[in-house]
Amino acid sequence: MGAEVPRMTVHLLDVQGLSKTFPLKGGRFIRAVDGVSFTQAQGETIGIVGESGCGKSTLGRLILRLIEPTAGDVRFRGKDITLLPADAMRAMRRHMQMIFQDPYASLDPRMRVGDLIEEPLVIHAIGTKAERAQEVARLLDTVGLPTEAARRYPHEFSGGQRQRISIARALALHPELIVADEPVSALDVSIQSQVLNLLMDLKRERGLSYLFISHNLAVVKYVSDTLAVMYLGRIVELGSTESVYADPKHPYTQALLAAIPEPDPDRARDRVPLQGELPSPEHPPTGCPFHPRCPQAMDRCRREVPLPLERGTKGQSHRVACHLYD
Amino acid sequence: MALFLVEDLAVSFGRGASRVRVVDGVSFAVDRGETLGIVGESGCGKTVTVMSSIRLQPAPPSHIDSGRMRLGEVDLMSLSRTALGEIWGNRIGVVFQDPMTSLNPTYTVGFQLREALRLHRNVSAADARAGVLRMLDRVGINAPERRLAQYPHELSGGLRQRVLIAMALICNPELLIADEPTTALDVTLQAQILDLLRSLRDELGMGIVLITHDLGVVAEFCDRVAVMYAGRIVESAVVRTLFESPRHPYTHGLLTSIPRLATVKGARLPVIDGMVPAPGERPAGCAFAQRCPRVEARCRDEQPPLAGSPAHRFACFNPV
Repeated sequence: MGAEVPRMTVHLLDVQGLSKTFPLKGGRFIRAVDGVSFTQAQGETIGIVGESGCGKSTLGRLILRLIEPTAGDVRFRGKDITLLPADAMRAMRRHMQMIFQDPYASLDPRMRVGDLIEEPLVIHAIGTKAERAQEVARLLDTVGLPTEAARRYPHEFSGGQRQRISIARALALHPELIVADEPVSALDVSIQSQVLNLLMDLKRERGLSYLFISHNLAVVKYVSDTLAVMYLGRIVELGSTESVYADPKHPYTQALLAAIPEPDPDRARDRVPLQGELPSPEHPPTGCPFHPRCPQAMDRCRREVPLPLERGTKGQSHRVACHLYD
Repeated sequence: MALFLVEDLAVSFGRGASRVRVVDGVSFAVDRGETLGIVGESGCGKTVTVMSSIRLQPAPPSHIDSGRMRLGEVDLMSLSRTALGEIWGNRIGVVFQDPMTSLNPTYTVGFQLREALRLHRNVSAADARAGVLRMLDRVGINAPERRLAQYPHELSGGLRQRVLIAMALICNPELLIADEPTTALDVTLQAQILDLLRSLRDELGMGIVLITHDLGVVAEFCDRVAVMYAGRIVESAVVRTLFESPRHPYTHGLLTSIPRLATVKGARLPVIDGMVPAPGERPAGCAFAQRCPRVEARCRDEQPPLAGSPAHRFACFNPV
């Protein structure tokens, strides 16, 4: 969100005004991420939800500087990583790792599983060959795979097992922050819960903090302490998971929650389906980006971009960017 | 009498020693105006089952080993390719998962819809155009005249899926087969498309077979549901019964392992251990036995039959 948050304490992660524009032909550009601000405490899991094209994956990559931001800064333990030179950034990545959606595409098929997990240790010159082999065995055990998996290739494993391999590789350097981009979306239902349990165990055992990106609101609710809802590159609502689900304020959040098909034939279906589709970020609407689809849009919404405002109760932070709450 | 009846369907792939049975003894029925959901995880055989049941699954490489399929009075097994061609797109409409691969990128939307209609109906060009415009309007497409001249890549994902639905319904089919019709779409779009299919079903009175992996979609959209595991139906019931009192341990496991909005944050999720056995590696007895928390000795040797009442059948020796 755009509002400047006073920097009193050192957060694990402090993102302010982060933006990314991608150039298009003819001098035009797409604002994929537009002025995103939030802070994350150590051990906190922040869920980032939104539909395809809302900028949630770009945001995850910006925070790890896998792509370079156009504006704004990302502080990790108080240090602005957007200013770090390449070698210092590489060293910094020990502390921040990523897990991708597709465990088929993110593991080099020509490398053995043991080498894949050892690779980050080799790059950062950690331990002797024997120590690293021991660590690989420990990591495999941590993610629930047998030691002999080290000698096999990724294609010999199922989707769920490959995601375990990706997790072991991400854990090798003992990171504090893991950006998980749709980590269970490609997995079958009966396998998703196995991987979610593993991620929750690791959080408890290692004090990990996750930035958990997903389109699945039920999964995000299950893992997250805090929830950020994105629409067209902006965070439109941000608050504790309990308060956002119990009292969704932004009309987009309300529509998103109402649209989830729940495995319960008795659930009251009082939803008003949202009309239309996400506008092209190439031609974003004026004013509030959600106004063309918003059932409660007012004149003002067509002209003015709403700023995020604190509307929490009982000491819980809950920010919303909507003129209904001005 | 059921609109669409499938009995004892078995399908295999490959030949000789490498021949593998992927669908084994599947039976189901769909009435007019009714929606049957076929659910299961990837590789359980749900798409092969349904596509083979209307003989749309390419054969070879697949082979229908047994099965009786009937649409109204027509025995689908006895039909020639030519006769099947008169049924597909006409009495049976099909919506596939990925709208980009099932529309031809080199023709306009209008051309493809007109062809779908003129293939089966002897109508003039003007009547075809009018019929197409009516159908586009019915599936909720604004400014249909403008869409006629557009190519599939010029449309958004939601519009493309609506065009596919229009194409499947243009000849007013009695049966609609929908294979994961909303899986590639976002939740707010999914809700729009499911609402649309529901109102079209009620208006046109067609029967629908919906293939999905999403139990939430089943709960919202289907009247009855068949759960598949490793090439067989392991449980079938009216939707409410299945969600309220699942009897097969696999169904029960699936329903409890999904995080729902009501799931307590971070609480340990119940899991189904292990993985689905590959088609060539299915055990002699119940295919779920090696993952089942309620397994008994006979489960490993004997295949449990799908038994019970028409309102609720399950294939299990030690049901929940």
